[in-house]
Amino acid sequence: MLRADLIRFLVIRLAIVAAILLGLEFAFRHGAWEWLAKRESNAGQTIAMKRALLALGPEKIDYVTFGDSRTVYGIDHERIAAAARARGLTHASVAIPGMHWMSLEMLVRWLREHAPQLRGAVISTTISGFNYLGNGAYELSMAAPLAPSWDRDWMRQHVPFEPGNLATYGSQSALFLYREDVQDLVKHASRRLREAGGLLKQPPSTGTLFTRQRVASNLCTVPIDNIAACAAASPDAPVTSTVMQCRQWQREASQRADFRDRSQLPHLAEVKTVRDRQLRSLPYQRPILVVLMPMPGVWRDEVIPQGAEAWARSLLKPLQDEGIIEVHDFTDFFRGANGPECAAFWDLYHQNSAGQDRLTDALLPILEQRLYRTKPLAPAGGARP
Amino acid sequence: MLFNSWHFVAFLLVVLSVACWLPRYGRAWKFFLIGASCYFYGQWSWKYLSLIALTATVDYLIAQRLAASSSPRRLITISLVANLGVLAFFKYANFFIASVNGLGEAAGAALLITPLDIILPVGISFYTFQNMSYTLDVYRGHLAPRKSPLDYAVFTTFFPQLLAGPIVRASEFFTQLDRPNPITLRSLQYALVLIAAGYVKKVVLADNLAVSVEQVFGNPAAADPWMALFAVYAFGFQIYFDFSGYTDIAIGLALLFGFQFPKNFDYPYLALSFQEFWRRWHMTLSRWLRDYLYISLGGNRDGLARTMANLMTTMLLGGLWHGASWNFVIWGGLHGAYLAIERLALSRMAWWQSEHKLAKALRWLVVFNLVCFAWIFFRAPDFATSLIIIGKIAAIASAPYSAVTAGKLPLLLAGLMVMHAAMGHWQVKDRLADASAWIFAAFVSAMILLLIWFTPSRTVPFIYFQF
Repeated sequence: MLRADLIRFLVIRLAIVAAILLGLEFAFRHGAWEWLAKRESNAGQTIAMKRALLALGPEKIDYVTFGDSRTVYGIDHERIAAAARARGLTHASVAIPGMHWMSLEMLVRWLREHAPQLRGAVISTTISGFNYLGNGAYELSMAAPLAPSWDRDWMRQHVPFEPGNLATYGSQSALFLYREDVQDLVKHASRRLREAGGLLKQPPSTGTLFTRQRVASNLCTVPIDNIAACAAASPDAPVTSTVMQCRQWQREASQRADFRDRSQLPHLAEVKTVRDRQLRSLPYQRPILVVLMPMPGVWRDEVIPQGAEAWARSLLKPLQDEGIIEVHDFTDFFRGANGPECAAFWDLYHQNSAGQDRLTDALLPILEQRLYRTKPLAPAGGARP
Repeated sequence: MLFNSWHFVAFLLVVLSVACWLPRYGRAWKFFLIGASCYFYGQWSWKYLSLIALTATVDYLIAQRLAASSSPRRLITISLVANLGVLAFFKYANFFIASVNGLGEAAGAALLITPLDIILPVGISFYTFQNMSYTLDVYRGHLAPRKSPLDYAVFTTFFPQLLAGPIVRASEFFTQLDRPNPITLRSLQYALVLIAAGYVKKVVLADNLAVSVEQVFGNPAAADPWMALFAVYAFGFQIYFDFSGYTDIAIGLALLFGFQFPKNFDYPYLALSFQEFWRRWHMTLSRWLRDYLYISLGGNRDGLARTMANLMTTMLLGGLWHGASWNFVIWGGLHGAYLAIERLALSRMAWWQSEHKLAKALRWLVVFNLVCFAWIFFRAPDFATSLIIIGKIAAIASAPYSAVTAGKLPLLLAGLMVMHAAMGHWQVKDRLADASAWIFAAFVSAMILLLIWFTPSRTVPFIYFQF
């Protein structure tokens, strides 16, 4: 039997440990770590975005573009901002590399609180953005800086907790959300502390909301028409990552999922429910423009689950029919007359400057017509350029 | 069931909760502990649990008969044959077959013997040595045979040390079973310090170092010479943190049940001689090898040549105990050679004996580097890989040092050495056992935060579980 003095001894010590850890958990949930977050980390990118929005004044924004790195590289946000400005409007890009539907939802919630006047939004995604509920546990730390301190249900919905997977622990404790940042702080302590000091002294730049990312190179030295040819290419220095990506895809393609018989895939029903809710709950006056970004044919035809394209369209169609969203499908934009594809991408996911220009040329008139015109618009069906 | 798994944490909480409500060292407590230990081992293999039961039964029965027997030598031989036979079959049969086939191949013969389809029972080297120490002690008259099979079963299966030691002597265990140590406030705090520190050593330090080590040893041909050198030092720390981390957890857990296990590590990289290294590294194995092998062979009683031969035999077998591979034999042989050279030559040199700081620093440098050199053979999967690594390190003079390639690893290794020295010098763990509630809580919280922030995504099993 345990003696009373041992129990008391243990309880006192464990209570102090619990108090210390809970105190830190509380501090982390309330953003105590934000000033030390690494700019390029998943959390750091969101924090930088949040700081930029606050510095600009969220109440001044009329339209936003949500999206991931494909949006960052695929659209000329500078031109879009200029076009909106010419109409006296502010259109900011809130695209963050890695953003998927969980962080998008949290950013929408944050904007609803800080920018209730927002008129509309562009959601830039791809047809593969509807395959699964979440995109990986990494997104927890992207979304957390935008989330209310104690609300964690949205996390658990997108990233189920798995005891064997440390990456999912962020849904239980904020201390786990900043692992990447703490590790980097230890590795580069002096530089990071210098940066943190600078960050506290200087106001954040608002430029990131209106700038474009440009990459000039293309993929025309790699055969990207089919995976086998691409994977078999010599991985010379400029195309190493592309060839490696093809090899990775070649491995994945052998276990390609099949979405054609959905009765065997119960997770898709859950995806439909959640995406439907997310898109219906967007609090904007105008129809939401859902832009399906261009994809290299090899990715669409050989890697993503078979039937994924039809699945994505079937999910979006009822919302489009109800006028809640407008779908602008650029999936095949760089095929056929707009080809060759290789000239429009700098890697298999991201467009280069030429691809960015051509897509923006096609997108701007749509934005002009559907968002920036002052007269209210009747709901419109999707367009397929 | 790994110590570094949630399954184990849940298991431990249940076992501790139940054990502390049962009358300590009573029959119910013992039965419960045996059951819990069997469950613990059974999570790895229920089938091989019967192997533990079999060897333990043989040793128990033989020990019972040893005292009254007219031919104790025959009985102890049966015990040794049974224990070593099981160990040899499971651990060394395929090694023997591969060696024979290798010789055959060299002689131009085709495959001679088909390798056996055997899975090495986890912890077999440890529990075999522990059981052997019991019968040998009874045989030598150092210990009375334990009458209660229940007590013997607790000793054999006790889960904190079942898989990788420390190798506890039966006399140490049974003394505590007969005269239970009081669980004091200090021992409780010390146990928690050991467990917390053990987890950090294993999960944070060893498992993160494993990444740098694997990069080099996994593909040595592609390794940068400087990285090869750093990987060797990194492995030196990895294996120390891995094994001593496990040992800390095991000793801490045993303390929670009221057992004080012997120390297994005493800051080995502070050793100033090879003899001292072996008094600080895997101390319970060193003690076992000394008492049951080296001394049985004659120790240092029969002249210098015989002493050297005994030393070398002990270290070669000690190396082979670790694993069925010639690399382990070479590792043991190297340490045997170090000890022999130290005894023959170095100890006669003035600087090797000097208490001057410079001489001590030089001795430390020699011992530490040669110990790390031997780790190459311990870590490399085969002899060819060891040679590639050594070749890389030998080419270091002509290789430009790249701070970018090396990253922070050299700094980290230097930091670990300083920490190792500081922990040893100030006996930090002992001090923490006496610390106030606030300091203790700050320490445990810091350990938990380190685990939260620096646990790598991939779980790495304890290195010594494979032995």
